[in-house]
Amino acid sequence: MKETAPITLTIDGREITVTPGTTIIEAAAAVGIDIPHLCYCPGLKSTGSCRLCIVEIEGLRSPVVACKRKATPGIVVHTDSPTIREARRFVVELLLSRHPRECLACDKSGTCQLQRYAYELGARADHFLVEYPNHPVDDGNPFILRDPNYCVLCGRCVRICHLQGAGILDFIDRGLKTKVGTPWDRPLDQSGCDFCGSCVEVCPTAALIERQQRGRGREWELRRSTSVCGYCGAACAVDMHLKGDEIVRTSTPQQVDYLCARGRFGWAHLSHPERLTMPLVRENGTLVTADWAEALDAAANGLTAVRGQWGPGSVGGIIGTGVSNEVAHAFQRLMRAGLGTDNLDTSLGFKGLDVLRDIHEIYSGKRATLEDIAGADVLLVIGDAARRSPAIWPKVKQALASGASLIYVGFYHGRLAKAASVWLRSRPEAAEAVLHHMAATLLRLDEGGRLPGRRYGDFRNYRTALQRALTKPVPDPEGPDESDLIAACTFFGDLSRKAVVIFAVDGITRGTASAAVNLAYLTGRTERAVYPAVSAANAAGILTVLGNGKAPAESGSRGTPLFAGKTLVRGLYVLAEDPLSTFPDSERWREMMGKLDFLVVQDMFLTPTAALADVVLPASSHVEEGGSFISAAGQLVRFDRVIPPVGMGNPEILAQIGARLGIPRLRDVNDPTAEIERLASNCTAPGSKPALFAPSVSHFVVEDTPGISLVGYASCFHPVHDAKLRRSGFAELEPYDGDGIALSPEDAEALGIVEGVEVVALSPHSQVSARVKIDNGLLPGVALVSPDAPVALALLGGSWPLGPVPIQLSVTTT
Amino acid sequence: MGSERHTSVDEHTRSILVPHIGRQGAFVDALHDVQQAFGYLPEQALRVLADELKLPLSQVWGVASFYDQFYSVPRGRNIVRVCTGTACQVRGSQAVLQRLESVMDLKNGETSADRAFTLETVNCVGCCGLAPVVVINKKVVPNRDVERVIGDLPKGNEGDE
Repeated sequence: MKETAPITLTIDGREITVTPGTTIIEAAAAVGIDIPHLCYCPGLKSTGSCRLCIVEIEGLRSPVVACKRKATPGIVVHTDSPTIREARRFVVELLLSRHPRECLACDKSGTCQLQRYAYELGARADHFLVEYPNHPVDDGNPFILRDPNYCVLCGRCVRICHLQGAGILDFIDRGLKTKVGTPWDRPLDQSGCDFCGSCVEVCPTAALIERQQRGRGREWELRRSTSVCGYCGAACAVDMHLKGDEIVRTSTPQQVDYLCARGRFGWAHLSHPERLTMPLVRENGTLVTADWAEALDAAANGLTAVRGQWGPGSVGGIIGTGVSNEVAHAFQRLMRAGLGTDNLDTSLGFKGLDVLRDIHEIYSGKRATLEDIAGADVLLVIGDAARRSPAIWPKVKQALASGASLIYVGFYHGRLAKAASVWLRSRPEAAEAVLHHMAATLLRLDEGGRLPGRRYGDFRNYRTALQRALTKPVPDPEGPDESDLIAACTFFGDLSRKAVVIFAVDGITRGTASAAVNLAYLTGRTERAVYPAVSAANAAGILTVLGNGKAPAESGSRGTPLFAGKTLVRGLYVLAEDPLSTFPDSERWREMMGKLDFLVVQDMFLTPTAALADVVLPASSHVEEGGSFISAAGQLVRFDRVIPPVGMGNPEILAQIGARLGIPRLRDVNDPTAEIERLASNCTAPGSKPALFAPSVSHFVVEDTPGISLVGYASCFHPVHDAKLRRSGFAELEPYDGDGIALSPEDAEALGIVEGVEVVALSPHSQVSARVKIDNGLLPGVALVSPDAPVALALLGGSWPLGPVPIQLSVTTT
Repeated sequence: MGSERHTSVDEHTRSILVPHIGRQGAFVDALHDVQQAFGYLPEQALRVLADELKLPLSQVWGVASFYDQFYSVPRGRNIVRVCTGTACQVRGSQAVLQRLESVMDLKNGETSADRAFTLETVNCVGCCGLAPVVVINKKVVPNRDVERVIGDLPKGNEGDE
């Protein structure tokens, strides 16, 4: 029988009432009694190994471990008696006998828990024979400095690495030689580490510290301010630890929480020496530093002149997908009200715009959140969503740890495939067919006719189309077989289980997205059952703000409508975007840029696009502005300004240009907050009825590509071609600077090439040189490029960001 | 998955693991069987083992590195173990070890380049009456006979047992 009545106990003379299952350490913490501890960490499973949290219970002969012992009615606990203090001092002195006495120069000084308890207990460092372990230090990566000599073997890093990281840390060796290490005791960068830095967050000593923090400030000098990460649509909260206006390190608001490598370590670019601090204006063909007024005049005059000569339709604007709603709002006001043009565009056109728009229309329910993923019983992950938006992975892991079943639709034999209960193999182009087959299997197994989707008005149409479409086999010969589909449907078809379908809007086709939503609807999962991840930080926000909920620049569906349209743009304002490096078909862009009369680029760095500009304005980061994003889950996420901008900052720059174009006080008068809130509430528009989308047969025709086919898939490579990440240390982590091409060991062997060899890759779109990375997760016949990497943009072309395209590889002879 | 990749090690390991899949408490038994088959624990075999038993590789390595009797590097065809148990220690096993290190030109724990010999220590083999002793392959050899027995050992593949 399970006891549910509240439990009352006494700790240090105070009576406390707690719920059953509460440990003594938790009960004590609830009334502000902090029992010393090293291995215990709220949010992680207790191991009771450090023996520091021992307490006395009256009537018991020996002390008990407070982090493991559950409160029981009537017990009287003493947490700080002389006996207990003596025992704790013994523990700390043993630890100190193997701990370097470097507190004077240690970055952890002030927050080190060992230092704190040594002080509180009056422990002496030389009570026992001092013998340092002399472990080698792992400092071969840009982010995490791992010095096992400072380690107290509390195991927090081991537990959190398995809870939400790559699961590469564990105790290795035995006895005095025991340390925390990776398989074969290799450095982190050779062990499959994600560099999520979760281990650093929980380490109580200096065994794991942020490398970037070293010597830049200790805890008592830092102030902490919460902001939001801007690297993908997950919009995770991130705490900045600041010394003056400099970000010294970052952390999660709660100790056991997740940030990916980008969110935790991707901030050094803000103070990078290459960051633009002053405007540049082109004089006699070269860009020279100018003062702000001069540059702003030049920008406003240049755009006005183009409009005066060629009309408003000749002016256009491109806005980055990582800027805040407020900046996007000001920018569109500037272009529309100030210059009278509707030529506004973003890179979303080839980064998931169609799918984003479709989801907005076809999924009528509220979107799932990351917490919904963590709490789900069944997860259906399609493709590379967990790499495009890394915050998904720890949530999937949490769900799995609580017994959830994972169905993975994809071709990559990586961690998702290994963790999956069912792996439905499919290349990106075949995923739609696989999902339709899953739907057909669900219907076939549903003998009682209980699936809620059957009651929707359009069910009959849907089923007819499904049957017609499925006369063709799954187009991938290595695809899933019948038993896999049945297994998947057994999990997914269990209507009592909470399910979430996860995909990246920029990582799947429109047909796949509809097929995925169909599966949710068929099983009656009309609310919080679809998580449309997105690589761009504020895709939903930009889409909403620029288009009043409609897509920006509807003139074209494949992006680049600005230039695909009939009007020739002669004056262009590019904000926080680098078309020459990050848009497909860069040669065409270069040609178009060359034909412009006038180009303004606002960016943090002198990008290839900025280098062509007539006026370059230093842009700010969202953490230097404050504002809001709309997350992938459709939520309005606000953030404050954490540090002042370098230079003027985006909002002020736009306001100043606005003033010069006759929109006074763009920033103040038109406070967009209310409007953005209204737009954000439209972002998920409940009300429309769930409807099943009939598949079209034509979606199923996938030509079998002979030889090696290339796919854009985020299963390898850190996205180091990103200008900000590259300047935040990620380039060091990834030797393949946007020119990496991953091959299966079999294909590499057949070609006689090894890791790092430079090859010439020829696709129907172009020929580029690339460097080979051997990837054990790959099936023979498939090559991978990181989506948005220069090599991907060149080889895959602008037609379809996923591929596949047939490629030929030849070894360069030098 | 994979066709030609590490075929021999992969296939061999998988066949060894067949009886262990899905069995509770199979992990250490599986490590023993893999070591039995290869003479040590090859990296690729441990990767396959982790996949097949659905264990994190870090945990596999944690356990493999915990036990002295699991080896991560190939070992010699002949194993020479100097007993350093208490009785042998008292009767001069350190001197025996030093002597063998210089005679065999190997450090404690090393394997000769031709993989003919591995020199290591062992903590008591239960023949304290003969201390100090050396165990050569499976035979306990009293100190005075060690060099002769080693000299008589064949150095080729036929030296097993």
